[in-house]
Amino acid sequence: MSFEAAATAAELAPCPGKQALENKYRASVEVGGGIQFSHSVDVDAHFQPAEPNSNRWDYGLGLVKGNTHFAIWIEPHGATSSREVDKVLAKLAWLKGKLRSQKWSQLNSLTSLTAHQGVQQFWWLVPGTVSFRPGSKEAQKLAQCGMKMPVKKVVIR
Amino acid sequence: MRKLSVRNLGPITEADIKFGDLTVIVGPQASGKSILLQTLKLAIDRAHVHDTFGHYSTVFNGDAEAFLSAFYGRGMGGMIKNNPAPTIVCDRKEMSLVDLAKRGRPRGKVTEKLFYIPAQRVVSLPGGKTTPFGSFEFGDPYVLRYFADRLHILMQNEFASKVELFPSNNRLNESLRRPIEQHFFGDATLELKAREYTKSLSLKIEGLSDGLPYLAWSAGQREFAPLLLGLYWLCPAGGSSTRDDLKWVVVEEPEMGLHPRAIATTLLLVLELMRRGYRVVLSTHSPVVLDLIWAVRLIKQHDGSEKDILKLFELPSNPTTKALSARALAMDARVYFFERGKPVSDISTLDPFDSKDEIASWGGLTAFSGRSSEVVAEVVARFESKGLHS
Repeated sequence: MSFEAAATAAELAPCPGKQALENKYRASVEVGGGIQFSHSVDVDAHFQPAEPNSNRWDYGLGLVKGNTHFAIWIEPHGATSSREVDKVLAKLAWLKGKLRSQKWSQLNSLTSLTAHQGVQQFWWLVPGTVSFRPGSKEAQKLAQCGMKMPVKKVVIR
Repeated sequence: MRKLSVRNLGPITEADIKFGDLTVIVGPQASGKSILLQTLKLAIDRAHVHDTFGHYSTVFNGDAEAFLSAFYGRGMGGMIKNNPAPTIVCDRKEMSLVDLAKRGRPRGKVTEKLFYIPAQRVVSLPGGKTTPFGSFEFGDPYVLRYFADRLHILMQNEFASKVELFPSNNRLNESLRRPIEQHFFGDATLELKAREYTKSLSLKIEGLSDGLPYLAWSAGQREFAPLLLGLYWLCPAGGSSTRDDLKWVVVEEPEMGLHPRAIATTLLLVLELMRRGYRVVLSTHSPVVLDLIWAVRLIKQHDGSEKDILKLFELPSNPTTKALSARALAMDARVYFFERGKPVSDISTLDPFDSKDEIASWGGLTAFSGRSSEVVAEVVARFESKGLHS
């Protein structure tokens, strides 16, 4: 099952490669080691009209290695205050809610396969400064929800 | 002196240290931190060190190895035989350990420039009593003997007629005394009291008629007492903000035995030393010390103000605390990482995103806590992914 098919089943609008990502973020996502981009979705834009006040996650990205398809989820978001951790975790909770829904079951399966590939599923991409450090209370909050520290670049090999 | 470079000195293969207003060195045990700091002391105060040994009737008769064993500690004089030979460059002046083992002929009056508060400071107050230089044995490190001796002189002279050592109205501003009360002594008063005809430190506590003797204190209180007295030495009563000709202060492991809140209080005292004009060098195993440097750097980079520093230390706003905050924002802070058998590296940026692990993990101080978060994140993601899948 491809990301394109799974996203279509979830009634999202998949774009080829990284094209769903805003231009300024595309260079911050890199793959290697035989992994390629398949399709991407702008989740935030899709749900903006229907859920304007929800903490919406930004992007989903389909990856393929050989015959294996899997999915990662990227949230570009500032980390200049520790309050942003709570916002990002609220977005993660929102995204996980979608993944549990029937419509998103195929995307859910692709996300599970990501963990089996040893690849991090949910990424917090930070364009600027991060105001908390590894081992801090904020890093622990993220870890307890299955997220690692924010990154300046998403690199998957 | 701005820069100290050493090669092949004990476990240090290569170190180039440029000193800031605050310089912090980190690294595992036996990586050469103390050797470097003691070498800094010797390089700055060589003639004073030699004169102090002479004053206490210790003569070396030109035996460099014996002098170095007396200075660094028993057996350490053997470093002189290292191959390749150790070299030390202060700013641009190159010298050998043999050169440092000679008094030299300095121009002008010989005065002490660097005050050293050693890691073994608790040994300077056995049973709460002060210990003069001559009471130690040959081979006990000079920096410990001399520190203990200064505390002895302080007690004999400036506190000779006083019982109360802390709180003391003419020592340290009230804004600094309050966190010390809060984190170290509570409602107790630190006293110098005669017990069995000998003066020793004691904590006066309501309801305890004899006070709490030194050995019954908490480990943190016993560690902090010599540090506090060292600060009293550096911050004399009266109009003078610094002691004599002292310009530098080295404090080894200010965090020893202390809770992180108490460590933050000692950092406040470090800022006070800097406000008074001292250049401060610390060694540490605590990420709290680096938290200060990291936080101040980011506060400065993002147009933060004195108010943000006050918030960091949970301090009220008053002229003293504002001056401390201003000093923190103005400081040039540097951090160096020592690792046995490897060149010392400059990790001053403390950037958690740096590709060099020693910078990202703050010389290993956040490595375990960082790794614990990483591993927990992976396990949680794996567990939840099973749930999502089913």
